[in-house]
Amino acid sequence: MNKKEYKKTVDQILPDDSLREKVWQGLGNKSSFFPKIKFSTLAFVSITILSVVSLNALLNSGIENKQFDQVKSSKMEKKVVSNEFKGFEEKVSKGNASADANLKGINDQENANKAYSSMDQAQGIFVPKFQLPAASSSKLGDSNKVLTLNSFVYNGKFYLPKNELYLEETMSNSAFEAIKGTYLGTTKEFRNRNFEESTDIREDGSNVENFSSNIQGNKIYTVKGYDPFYRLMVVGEGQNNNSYSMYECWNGINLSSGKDYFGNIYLENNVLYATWESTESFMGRLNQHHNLNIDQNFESFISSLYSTKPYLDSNQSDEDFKGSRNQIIIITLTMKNQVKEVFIISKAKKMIATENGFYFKMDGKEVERFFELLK
Amino acid sequence: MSFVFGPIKQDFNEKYDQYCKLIYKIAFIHLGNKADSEEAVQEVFIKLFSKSPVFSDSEHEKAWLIRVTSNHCKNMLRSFWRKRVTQPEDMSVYFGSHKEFENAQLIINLPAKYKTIIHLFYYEGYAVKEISNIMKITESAVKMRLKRGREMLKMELEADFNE
Repeated sequence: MNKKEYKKTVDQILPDDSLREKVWQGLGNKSSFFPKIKFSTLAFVSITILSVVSLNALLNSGIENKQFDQVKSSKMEKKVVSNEFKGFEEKVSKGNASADANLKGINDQENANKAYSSMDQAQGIFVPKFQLPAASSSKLGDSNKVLTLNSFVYNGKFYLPKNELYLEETMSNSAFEAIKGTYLGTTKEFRNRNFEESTDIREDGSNVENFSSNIQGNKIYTVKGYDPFYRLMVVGEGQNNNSYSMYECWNGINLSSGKDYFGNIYLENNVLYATWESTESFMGRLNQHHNLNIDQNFESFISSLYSTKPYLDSNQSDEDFKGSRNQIIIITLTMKNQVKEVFIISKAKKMIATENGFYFKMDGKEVERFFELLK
Repeated sequence: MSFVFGPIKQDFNEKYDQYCKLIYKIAFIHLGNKADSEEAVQEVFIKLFSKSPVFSDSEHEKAWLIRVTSNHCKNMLRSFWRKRVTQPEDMSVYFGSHKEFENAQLIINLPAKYKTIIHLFYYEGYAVKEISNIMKITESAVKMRLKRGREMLKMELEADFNE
């Protein structure tokens, strides 16, 4: 591709004519979000000030739930702006692949449903092996699904980003050197990047060479203190040599209890410090972190995670995101080796969600006790 | 009276004409489908009319919008509740040739951190220093991301002289 081709391609990405009206209507629906009012003249202010005062109480009544509007907006607004996809959304919600992070690369609904049906919740959950989206015919219209996740293959298994943004993390040089393990290899071109080329690659990656990847040119290391079966690190190209991205393989395995997950990332007696933030802070990147004391109560909470039960959260709805601001929080744990682990805890659902999208049902009393720690 | 509590339609139309395509294109290359891109456009306009700072000029405003769009898209991708199954939209309808469709797939497949940088450089025509200011990252980071993104797109090096 050259610059001209890039421009020509992007030139063709254009919004529908109808979007203008949808956005305008959306702005109208969000009228209570507009503190910055177009008061262009003082006279206008004086005429409207009485109305503003009288409506202030009404506006304020919506403020408490404003942060949850942010959280749920991706669900709610989608219905406003894209009714044509409603049918698909309904299919997905019945499917439902959204509950399972390790289905996230499976763009194909049939595969997702197949994987879902293979799970046995009574025995925990079986996380199906990550598969490439099914190879399709070379007909243009059928080959439209894209492997949107960065990944690489090692020992026949797909490793996926610990978080979805592929954010590089950094730590001090000494901490970085302490966790950087053995050099395994460098990622190289992944032949399946375009579907038409994938017919000679098995969908489960079993015949893909080590380090085949769509993030070619990155060095893969083991992470000291972690089982390479679950976790490896990609050392990045940042200006410092101590930037990395954690990649994990939590597919093709059985999770029978929280211990199978939290135990393998060694949370117990291993947290150096912990903070929590509201969903408003998290989604808005406001970084309003509050410290959590690492004491006996906190360790008790961590221990309780080992006996949580993994489950498929296939019934998410907008209702899940309603409630007071403290019903859902995000906790960030900095481990003794400086690695960070992020979780969401929902008080209402008695649930803890991991960064890569697993859901674990918590004991009700433990949830209550944990939220007491926040006060 | 509804305009009292929201943007005036004329203001909205002006801003929409000025920036919609810019926002939509950035959103699309991040999110890879029409529905999410439309949603992103809507959210960014809400931010523009409700949370934007006072801009010194239109370039300042444009830079702010680029940053907000990029961050918003990353937040959408970041959302734990976001669907894990990408909508299998028939993207081919947007592109005139198979080659362009393939190029679009390559662009969408780029890791998030490279997308905006590549787009600003190759499409919007910003220089490295300008991108550094817009995205609030160092020039060397911009160059590194350009290099990596270009490698991943297998782009020719013709534009290096402009860096």
